[in-house]
Parts: sequence; structure tokens; C-alpha cells
Amino acid sequence: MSSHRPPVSRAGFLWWILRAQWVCGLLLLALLTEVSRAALLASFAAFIAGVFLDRAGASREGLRRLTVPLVALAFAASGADLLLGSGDLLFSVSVLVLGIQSVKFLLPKNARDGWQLCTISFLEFLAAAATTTEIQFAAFAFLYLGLCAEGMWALQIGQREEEGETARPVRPRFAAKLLLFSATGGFLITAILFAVTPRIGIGQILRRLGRAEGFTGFSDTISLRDVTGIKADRRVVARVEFPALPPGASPLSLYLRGAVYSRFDGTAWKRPWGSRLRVVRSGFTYLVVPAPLGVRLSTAEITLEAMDNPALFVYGSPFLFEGSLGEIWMEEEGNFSLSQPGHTALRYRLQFFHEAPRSRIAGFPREREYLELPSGWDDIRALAAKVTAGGSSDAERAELALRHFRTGYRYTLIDPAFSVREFLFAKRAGFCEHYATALALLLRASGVPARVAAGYLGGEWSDVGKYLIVRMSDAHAWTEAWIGGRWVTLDATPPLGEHSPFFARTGKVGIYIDWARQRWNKYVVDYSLKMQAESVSEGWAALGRAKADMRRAFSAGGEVRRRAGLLAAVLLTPLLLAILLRRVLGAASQRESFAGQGKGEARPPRPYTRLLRRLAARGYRRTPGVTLEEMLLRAAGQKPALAGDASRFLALYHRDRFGPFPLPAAEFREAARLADRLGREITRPGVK
Amino acid sequence: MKGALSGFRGKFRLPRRLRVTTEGKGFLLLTLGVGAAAINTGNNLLYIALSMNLSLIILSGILSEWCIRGVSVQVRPASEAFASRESLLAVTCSAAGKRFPAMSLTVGLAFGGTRLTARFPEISAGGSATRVLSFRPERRGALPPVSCAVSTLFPFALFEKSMDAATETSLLVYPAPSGAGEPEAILAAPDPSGGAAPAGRQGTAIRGAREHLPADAVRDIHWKASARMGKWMVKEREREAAPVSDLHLPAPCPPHEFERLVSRACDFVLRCERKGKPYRLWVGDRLGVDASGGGRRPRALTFLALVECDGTLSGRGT
Repeated sequence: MSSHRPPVSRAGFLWWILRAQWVCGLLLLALLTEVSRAALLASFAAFIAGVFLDRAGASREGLRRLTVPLVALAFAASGADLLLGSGDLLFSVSVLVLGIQSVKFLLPKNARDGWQLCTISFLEFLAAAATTTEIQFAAFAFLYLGLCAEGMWALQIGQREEEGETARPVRPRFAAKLLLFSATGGFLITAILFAVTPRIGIGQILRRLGRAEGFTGFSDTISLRDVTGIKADRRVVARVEFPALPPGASPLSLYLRGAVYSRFDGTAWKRPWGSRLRVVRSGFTYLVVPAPLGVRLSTAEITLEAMDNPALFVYGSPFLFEGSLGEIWMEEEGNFSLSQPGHTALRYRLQFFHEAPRSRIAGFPREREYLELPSGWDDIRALAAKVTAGGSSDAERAELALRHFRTGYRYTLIDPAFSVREFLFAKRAGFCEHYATALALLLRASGVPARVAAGYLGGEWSDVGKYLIVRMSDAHAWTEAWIGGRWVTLDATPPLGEHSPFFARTGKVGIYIDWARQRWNKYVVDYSLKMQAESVSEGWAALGRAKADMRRAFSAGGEVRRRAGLLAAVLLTPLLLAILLRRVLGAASQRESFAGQGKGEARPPRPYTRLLRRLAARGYRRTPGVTLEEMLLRAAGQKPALAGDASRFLALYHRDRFGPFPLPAAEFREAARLADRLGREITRPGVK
Repeated sequence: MKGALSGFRGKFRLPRRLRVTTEGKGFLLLTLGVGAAAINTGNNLLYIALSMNLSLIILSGILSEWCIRGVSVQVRPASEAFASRESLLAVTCSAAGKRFPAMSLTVGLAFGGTRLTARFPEISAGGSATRVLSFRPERRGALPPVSCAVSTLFPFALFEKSMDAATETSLLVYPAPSGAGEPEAILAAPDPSGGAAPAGRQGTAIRGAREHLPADAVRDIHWKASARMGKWMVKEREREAAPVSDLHLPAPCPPHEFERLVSRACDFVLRCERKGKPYRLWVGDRLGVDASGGGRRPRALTFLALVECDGTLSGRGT
């Protein structure tokens, strides 16, 4: 790096915008990714130091000599991170890039360095885009777009300076207008391009980089552990829209099932991990079971937040899934899961039977498994016999068992029973898992196949976006019993609603924020080829409808023919107004063009206009045909000492204003200095 | 046929030309990379980044179009152009009638193997700016039409957009005046009878007023007539006594020799004009420039710029 390279334009507004773009990239990394905080802090420190040094115009010879060692240090830090630290290649590369960026922040910058720093900043933007799905990214993207445009403009001016042009201050008002236009215009174009670019995820080179860390839970076991932490967790797990529900069904009463558990060893429920089948797929549609005739289907559009388990949540008895989900696996018991162990935010449409259809197969293939009780639990059998006495069918026995929990049982998270036997025979206090386990065991003891299901019950209904917000605190466990040839949901847990110690309602602002997040997830994060195809088909259908409407309206006796006069007036008035406006504007523009040069010669740079003002203040007013040279020579004639400066200034002035190129920076500064001096001397009292 | 072909090509020529700069190439490569990553991963936020880059390219096109559209260029000689001497051209770039300022404009002029460049960092909407360029024409005569291109790197320096600007400039290069003494070879003896040449104040009676010529002395200005006519007028007297010099250029003549004589004639014309001496220019036996009438100097120089060795005027016949 040579010492005499001109710096990137210090033309005020743009200078700051360029730096703002660089710092925006760092902020994106800091807020939306998990890149090394130490490396980020070092970069921020280097950025601030660089700003001060750039403003001061320091030469930084010593720093230049340290460039190679500093870059070597960055390489060493990156290597150490890869071998001894994170072990993640992308993470280490980010450390290296931040190191190089820090060095560049500290050194003087020409336009090429500016472009390099902008590229690094864009890579940081990409890193954030690849690792987050947060809505904050949208705000940053909007800001970043405007900053990018303005930053590149600054660099373009910088390049011209390096080619010998003078750094003329950019008018802040024009720069602000351009920033606003770039941000809003760019945003609109970006939105259109984003909507129309075909979504093809070929996945041939790298796997999706999205973060697969999210909510935990729904493991292989479910035990009577402390659930206070879960119940106090307000994080959103899913947002669900219900385009179609049976009449009278409330979204708040629906069970969002993650997994079912059938093996109980006395302390915990386990999944049997039997055989699993791949769900039949055709494009984005996955057919679970053939639809029986005459059964009404419900529809839910589910957006799941990132999770670190493959469970696919369902309502009721699934009929089909639609979405970009890869392979879906179905276990024998009805658990659904994805191929990958975790997933980023996920959106799919589920069509389900509100009430599961009855099985056509007589009997129950794995009945024994669902009737098993831990050995030696005769007290449970005795209780079951007592509770369900008088029940002649499975349904009646189930109803009696359910009724048992409405007598003397208490819901508590603070002081629950330690085991299901303690819950049934001593404490009679517990939470949903106690109730679900106890009911399942009582049903099994009375000969009704039963299992425990885990997932979420209800949630918070958003009136703004008409969707259900399901939070961690809505986690629930319930019982499913095989009654009448289908699995029936039975929930012994008493409904708490607003009496729950963890009940909290989201405020108005919170609901709107959540609505924005839901829309972000729906229309941006999970925007898919399927949605594009649907938009096209809906658009096509709308076009068809419009054509039919038009044909109807123009047909004999149609709306148009009946109100032809009114329609003509409505259509023609704006047309006439537009023609009139165009004529008026056209005439004004013609007048301007007839005036020849419009506003005349472009306004000279500020030092020259200041000199002209000072000359005018001393009575040397500019009239048509009188040049600055004549005015200045007349003024300088009053004081011969100024003659030398005046002739030097005029030589530079003429070259700057009328030479092939504007003056280089150093000569322009000299011209500005001379103009200032001449102006001051001329306006000094006694000189005229 | 050739003209028709070029006319056809001109009709279908794109109104703007685009050149991708080095930074632009980098930007396009980066955009391609982001596109590949987006398609590969199916990550919608990468699609946003891709759309952002594409939107910046579109914005660049819109802004550069606003910047360059409506810009007009006027090229005119800023001084008399003599062959083999520094001459000046004034290039005025105007944004009259525009609502968007013209930024980072470069005007390129090309004529007869000469290429000139002028830069206009900013011309405010409705304003104009003039730059003076120097050039050294090789030989006398009418220069080929000036082709003018306006280009800009505004706003992002990713692409250089340029357009052809229409200029109706005809540049005429006068012969190089050779200062090799009196041009005896072409100078005939002065006509003692004189003529109606406007010089001196030897005559007494004022015959009338005529337009001012560069050689006229200030003292001969007819102030009243000037005020009435709105332009400088000088008194014309009866029987101007100054003798008229006749300058004969032999024609036809070998080209090399003819060029030498034209140069000397040019020098003579300039000296006569400086001294205010009346003169006439002959080519062969044809009078090229008369001593009387206004605008003698430009007429004489134009004649010398265009005259061919066979006595005809180039592009005009005899």
C-alpha cells in the first residue's frame, strides 16, 4: 500500500454512510449469529479506531508494517479455533474474515479497499441470512439495502477522485433523497423479485445451513418430572391457522400431538420404536390414509419453530400433509417424523379427521401391548375394577374412569406426587402427566387399550391474524384409548384456563408483533414453490372470474349497458384530467426548454460562490456578460498586493471551471484557499 | 447501398450501451454465487439477498437512465483552428428541462482520429456547464463530423452507461500560417487605383456606414449608426486611398507545392488583417475573396481552408 494513495471520499454524508454499511454487517453477525464474540469485539474496536484515524487523516506507516503479522495472527486464531475451539469450519472462517476486516479498518483506505470492505460486509450479511430466520433480519435487510446503494455511490465518487477529480461535497438533501429512494424502491423491487424467483432447492452442493437447534422435548421417554420450567416458558412453539374446521369446533380445544407412548415401566413412558413406513408422496403432497367417503376434513396450516427433534406435530387423525418436508415417516402407532434429526422453522398444511375414522379391521393388532401394566400393580387393577364397575362397554368404562378424576383430585405444579401410585392412592395432586398416566393405567387395568400422548393443548388465539399461538407453556399430556375401533382422546386433567399459575395474556402490542412474525414466517421464511404455484393458479382463476364478470356485465341487459353513461363519465373524467395535466406540464416544460439553458450555468463550487458573494457585498455585482475575472481584477486593482494571488487564483479557476477535467484535490484546495484569502482581503474595510 | 445499410443498422441500434466495470464484474460474480447458494439450499433469506443484489442492478439502471436522459451536448470552436496549432473546443453539457441532476458525466468526442474527453462531475437539474478542450488538427479543411458520446458511472460504478449525443458541429481548420517572409511568389503588385476597401481615414467625404471588421480602427466607428443598428458600424469614406494587394494562388498546381503556397497565403492574410491592409484572393484567374464587404477575414480563411489544388472548393465544387 503506497503512502500517497488518496483516501476514500471524505465527502461528509456519504463517508458516514459507507462506514454505517460496514458496521451494519458487523451488527448482523453480532445479533443474529453465534460468531465468536471476541473476534467481533476486536472488529468493532478496530472499526472505531479506524474511523478516528481516517477522520484525522493519519498516515499510519507503523500500522502498515504490522499488516502481515496482524493477518498472520488472524490466520493463527482461525486455525486454533478450528483445531482446539469450535471445530467448525464456517465458524473458523468467520474468525479469519473478521481478523482481515479489522486490519483493513485500521489502515488508510482507497476505493479498492472500500470495495473490499463492502464485500466483506456483504458476506457478513449472507452469513446472517444463512443462519437465522428471525424477523429482525427483515429490518436489517431494508436498512442494509439503502446503505449498500449509498455506500456504492460513495465508492464511485471515491474512484473518480482517484482518477483526479476533486472531492466535491455531496448535497445532503440529494443524498438523503437518494438513500430513501434506494431503500424504498429497492425494497419494492426486492419484494417482487423475491416473490417471482422460482424456489428450487436442489441441495446438491451443501445441505441447508439453517440452524437446527430449537425446542427440546418429545424424547423417547416421558416421566413424571418437574414441568414448572416448561409451564413458565412463554416461547412460541407453533402458529396455526385453521382454514377449515367443523362447525362448533374451537381451536383452543384441539390437541396438537407430537408423539404417543405405549410402554410404561412404572416410572416413565417409552416409545416402542417399531417398524416405520414412508408416507406416500406426490410432489408436495403426502397421503397418509385414503379418505373415506362422507367424512368431513378439517385443515390446519402449521408453522413450527426450529426444533432439535424430528417430530411432526398433528391434529386429530391426519389424512394428508402438504409442504416442502422431504421424507415423512409414520410409525405403527401413528407418530410422524421427518428424516432429519432437527429442522429450522417449518410450514405445512395438514388435513385431518377431527374424529378418527373407525378401523375396518376387526380387533386390535397389538392389543396386548396396550393393556400391559407393570408387574405387581394389583392395587391399580383393584382400583380400576372399583371405578369402572357397572360399565358394560369400553366407552362406558372409559367414561367412568374419567369421572373418577373429578372427585378429590387437585392440579398442582408446586407439590405434585412423586409416582403415579402416590398420585392415585395418597396425594391425589399432580399435573397433566400424572392424570394422563393414571387414566391410561386405569383403562388398561379395566381392559381398554390405552396410551399416553404428548404435545400441546390449545394456545392463545390471535384476533389480529386469526391464528393460534402455541407456546411451550401449553405443553400437555393426555390419554388415548382404543374405543369402538379408533383411538379416542381422553383428558383427565382438569381445565385450568385463567386459574393456571402461569397463565398470562399477551398485550396488544405483543399480539401485533407476533402477527408480524407469523406473516414473516409464512410469506418469507417458508415461502415455497408450492405457494408460488398456488398464487399462479389463484391468479389464473381470478382472471377467469374477472373475464366471466366482464362478459356478464357487457352482455345484453348487463350492468354496463344499463349504466353506460355513468361508466363513461367515470372512465373518461380521469382520462381527460390526465390529458389536461399533461398539456399543462408539457407547456411548462416547453417554456423551460425555450428558455434555453434553463437555470443557466451550473452553480460553481462553494469557495467560488463565497468569493462572488463577498465581491457583491463590496459593490461588484455580477451582471450578464461580466465575468468573475473582470470583477476580481477590478476589485484587486484597488489593492496591488492582491494582484499575484488574483492571477494565480484565476488560472486555477479557469482550469477548474472550463478545463477538460475539474482540478485535482490538491489544486482545488489551493484555489479554495486563494478564493478565501481574496474574499477576506477584498471585504476588509478600506479596500475598494 | 452502404448508406442504406448503415441507416438500417442505426435504426435498430440500442439507444444505450453498457460496459461492465471491474467492480461490476465482481458484483455479478457475487450475485451468481448467492443465486447458486439460494437455489442449492432453498433458504429464503438467501433468496432475499439474491433479490437485493438484483434490485441494486435494476436501481443502478434506473438511476443512471435518469442521470443521462435529457442531457444535451453542444460542441463549438472556442478559437479559430489552424492546422498544426493548438486549438480550442468548447463543450457545453446541458441538463436543461431535466428534473434529476446529471452526475459523473464523461463526454467523449471523436473526429478524424482525434479523441477528446471532458468530465462533468455534477450538473444540477436545469443547469449547464462548459469545458474547454484543446486539440491540434493535422491539416486544413473541414473536419469530419464530431461524434459525441455521453457516459456515466453513476450511481454505483458497476456499469458504465453511454449514449450517443447528437451534435451539429462543423469544424473548419484553417491552413497553418507559415511565417517565411513576404509571399513574393503569390503576391502581385498592389493595385494603385485602390478599391472600396475599408481602411484608413485618408478620404474626406463620408460615403456611408458599413459593418465593423476586425481590422477597422476604433476611431472609425460610426457611433450613431452603431447605436441605431445595435452592432458596430464604421464610417466608409469616398475613395479610400489604401492600395489593394492581390494574392494569386496558381491552379492547378502540384498538391505539395499548393499546400505550401496556401500556408503562406494564410500568413499573408493574417498579416494584412492585422495591419488593416486591403487584399484580394485569386485562385488561378478566379476571384476567391473580394476586398470589399463585411466578414472578409473569415471568408478568406474559409476559402483558404477549403481550396483544392485544382482551384475548386472541397465539398462545394467550383
